[in-house]
Amino acid sequence: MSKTFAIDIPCDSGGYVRFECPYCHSEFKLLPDEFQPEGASTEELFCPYCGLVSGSSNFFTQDVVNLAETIAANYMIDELNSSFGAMANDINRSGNGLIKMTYKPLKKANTKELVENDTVETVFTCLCCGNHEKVLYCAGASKIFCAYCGVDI
Amino acid sequence: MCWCFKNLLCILRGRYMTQYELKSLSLRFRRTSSNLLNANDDNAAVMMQRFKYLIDETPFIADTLRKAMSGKEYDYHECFTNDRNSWAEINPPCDEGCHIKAQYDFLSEICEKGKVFGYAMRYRCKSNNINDITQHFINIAFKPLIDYINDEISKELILQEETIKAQAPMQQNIYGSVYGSANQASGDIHSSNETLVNNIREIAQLIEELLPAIKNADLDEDDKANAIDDLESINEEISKAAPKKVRLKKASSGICNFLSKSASVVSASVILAEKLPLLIDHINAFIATL
Repeated sequence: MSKTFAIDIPCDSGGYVRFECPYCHSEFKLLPDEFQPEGASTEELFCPYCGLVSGSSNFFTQDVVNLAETIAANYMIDELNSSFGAMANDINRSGNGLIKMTYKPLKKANTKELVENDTVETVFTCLCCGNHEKVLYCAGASKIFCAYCGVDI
Repeated sequence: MCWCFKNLLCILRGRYMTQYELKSLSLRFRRTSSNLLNANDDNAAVMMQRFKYLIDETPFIADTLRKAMSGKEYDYHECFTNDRNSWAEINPPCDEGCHIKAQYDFLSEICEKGKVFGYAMRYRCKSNNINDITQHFINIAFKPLIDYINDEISKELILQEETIKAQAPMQQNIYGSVYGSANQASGDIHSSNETLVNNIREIAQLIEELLPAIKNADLDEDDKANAIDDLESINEEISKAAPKKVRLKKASSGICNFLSKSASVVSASVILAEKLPLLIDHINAFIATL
């Protein structure tokens, strides 16, 4: 059985969404329309800072991962609570007073709403693929790579 | 050591790379090392062999590593300790060169034996999943080597880009034409330009306003045609990279003649009376700079 949840990730005033590199843990921002062109998700991303590549699902920030885990855990708690509730009702109804079942429902964890603030990153446009990214850049001291095609900008 | 001399040495050593080659190498290296870091138990040995082959067979990387490791006598077992009675540990040395050497030697040993998981399971990992253990091991053991090579390629790219920027001729993008010369020396720009951008803009604007006014004025058709012709030739000249002084002077004197019929012009249009003298002043100022 599989269940799909949708998580809304907020964007900043420029419409950029935050991502985090699984290797160097640096943060950068991408435009949702370019990350998910026509609903299809980009399969892999390059880190703009270290340039290493991985599956795009590995680039979600820790906040998003934590939220996804909390939503999944809450769903599991809901299912367990309803199963045990139904079981307790059945037993208490059919047990003729000889068997009684009580249970304490599990408490759900609070889901913290994600927020996005504007930061001082610079917007870069890849000359190769034309996509945009927002990164912290120090001219002449670091290389910046395109998150989509991996070429240096 | 200046960049040109460094390049000459590189050419002599056979490791000189153009910017395009360096960018390709950077992309190839990042792809290969990412594949290694994301390897699972099934393909870890192959990915490690490919990674080793890339760093051994690419002159730039091999030379960079050779330079980093030269003169270092270090036994990699000191860095990658392996006590049979407990978990293996990684104790990186302070000296970066020794650390690079330890990683390279350890990588060579694993590639020779080909059993990545055999080594990976000696290191403590939070997960019990085989693939997680393999990836965790590769990450803690070889990520510093990957970062070092990646940084060296990036540094070389930055150096090349900066040199190209410094050697490139200066380009000025200014609306209109720029007359004069620009000197660039040692990164500082000493400009002796007299940009007449505003003057040119004003002349063009005046001509734009005067043309319909002349066309609609109640004047002799021949005079109007001559004046329009003069204005058009001025417009044409000021938009050229190298305007001809003689043509401008001729057109200017034509406009002066047109203006000299002041009585009829003033009665014809207030715009002409106001703007024509202004235009002549601007043209004369412009001619003086040629």
